[in-house]
Amino acid sequence: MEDVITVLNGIYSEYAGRLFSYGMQLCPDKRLVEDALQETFLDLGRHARAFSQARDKRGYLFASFRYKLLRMKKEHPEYSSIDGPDGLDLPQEGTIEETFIGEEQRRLHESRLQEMYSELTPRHREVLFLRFSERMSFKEIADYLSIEPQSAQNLFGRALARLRKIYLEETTEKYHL
Amino acid sequence: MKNYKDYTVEQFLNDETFIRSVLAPTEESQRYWNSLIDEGALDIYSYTEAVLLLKGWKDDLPKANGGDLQDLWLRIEEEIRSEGSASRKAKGRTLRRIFIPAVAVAAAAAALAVFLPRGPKDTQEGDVYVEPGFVLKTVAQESGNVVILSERSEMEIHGSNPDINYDRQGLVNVNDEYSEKVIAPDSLDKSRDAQQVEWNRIVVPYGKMASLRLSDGSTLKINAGTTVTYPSAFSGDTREIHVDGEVFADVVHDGRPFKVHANGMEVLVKGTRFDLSAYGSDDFSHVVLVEGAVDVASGGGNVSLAPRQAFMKSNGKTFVQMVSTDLYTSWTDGVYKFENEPVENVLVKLSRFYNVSLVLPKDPSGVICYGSLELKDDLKSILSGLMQIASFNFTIKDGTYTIRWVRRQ
Repeated sequence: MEDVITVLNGIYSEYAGRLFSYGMQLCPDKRLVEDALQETFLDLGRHARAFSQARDKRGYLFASFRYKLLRMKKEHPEYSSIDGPDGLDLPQEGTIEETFIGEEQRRLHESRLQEMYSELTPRHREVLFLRFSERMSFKEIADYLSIEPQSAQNLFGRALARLRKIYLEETTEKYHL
Repeated sequence: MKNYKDYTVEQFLNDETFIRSVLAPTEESQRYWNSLIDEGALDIYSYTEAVLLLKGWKDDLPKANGGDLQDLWLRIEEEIRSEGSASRKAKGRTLRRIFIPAVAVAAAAAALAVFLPRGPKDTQEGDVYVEPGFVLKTVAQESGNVVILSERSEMEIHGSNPDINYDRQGLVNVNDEYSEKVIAPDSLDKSRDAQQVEWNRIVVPYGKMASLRLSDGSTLKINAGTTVTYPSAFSGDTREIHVDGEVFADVVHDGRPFKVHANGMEVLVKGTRFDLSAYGSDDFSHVVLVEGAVDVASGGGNVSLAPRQAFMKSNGKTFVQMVSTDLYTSWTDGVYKFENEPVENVLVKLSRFYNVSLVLPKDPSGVICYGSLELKDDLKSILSGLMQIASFNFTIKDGTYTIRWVRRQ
């Protein structure tokens, strides 16, 4: 028991902050993200052996966390509207084909550079997070999201294009600070 | 050395070394990119835009609060122990935690406290504790000097960074000279109720700073364009001040809580050093903790900060992130420091500091800045100096600064 807790605590210190930031990209509700984090680690305690044998420990943890968070999000319909046409899907439902270039999300008129980030879809934010924060390669992202490497690369490209477009719009607006 | 010569914005943002250098810069990485810029070994416009985008992305990333994560871990640990001791397998039950309503109530109470600043109970004629500060602020703006207003006196202080001290009895001295004019008459006046708090207000105009030592020994560095309302001497069980603008506070621990009310936020301090920026004119506020512990209550909730964490509030959204505190406190030395910062970011910060409107061109500047600027001068002279180095010019019309890049050949 104590061994399990010590090991878990080590994993928790290394990953909890990262998973939290990641979770907030998928669903901007702190409570839900924390609940998913809690369940992920409880699960890890129950399946410590499976985890210790996993080759890609980060992948295991992220995938387990992602699954739980998206399931919880689905159970709370109030969040489903956030995603719009670029919604995130539970992995086993296998919807690989997504329509990324759908309707534009409602344009928020905010003049701050940081704000541009909130205008990306959860799907875009996810891929930017995996690439920038976790520095995953396209191969790793593809494996993780169960899509083709080329699709991962395209997804990242579209997220970047969106980021740039929003940025250019922002800077033409007048700063009153 | 890798060849970045024809890299586009997308290629930079897809480059491992570039991402690492911007998100986790080291001295070595700074040197590396500096040398590439100096040698013209990359397209500076693409590079600048890529840096801007990645920095903007990083700044907006939600960060977990260290205290919250710790609490969460304790719950997890407890749950694992109880599962273990009952030696049964839980079947995927959901654990809804129910601490939210209590927090929400606390936050509402805090917000209320912020909007109802507690002045003296019976406001008498001549009391300075009037609600909106902007009329008083204008006085200081016009004279361009730091002004202290108390219930019965008004003092204008010349010089750019005055040092103002209150002793335990609430007597004030400025730049180490006791000023007879401003010896608080009320604290000597036995006829007045001893419990009555004498409120003072210090108004620091743009382009000036001031240091204020409160009667409990806590010190405030007060940034430009800031008004602080405080009592000559703290009486009672709590110490409270009101801030509109930016202060760097070094609070002395004396057993009584210290509260800062600031533009929709309430910061509860327990002996600590932190920077607080909350200009009423600005929709962006922050509390950056350097040392110790503070609780921040804002419209949306209540968070505890750990050292090097920042509480940010932007257009009503709040988040907590780790920051390099140096960048938030360097103004106390009269300088604004920046590293690998596109010039457009520098200009935005300056316009914020001097409270002016700014119009930037649509295309990236292609200029990356390192170093620091002294904030003693007015904005026009700072920009005049900067424009030659950073290749832009500007026009001023109706208080709005419009920037144009000057393309280098």
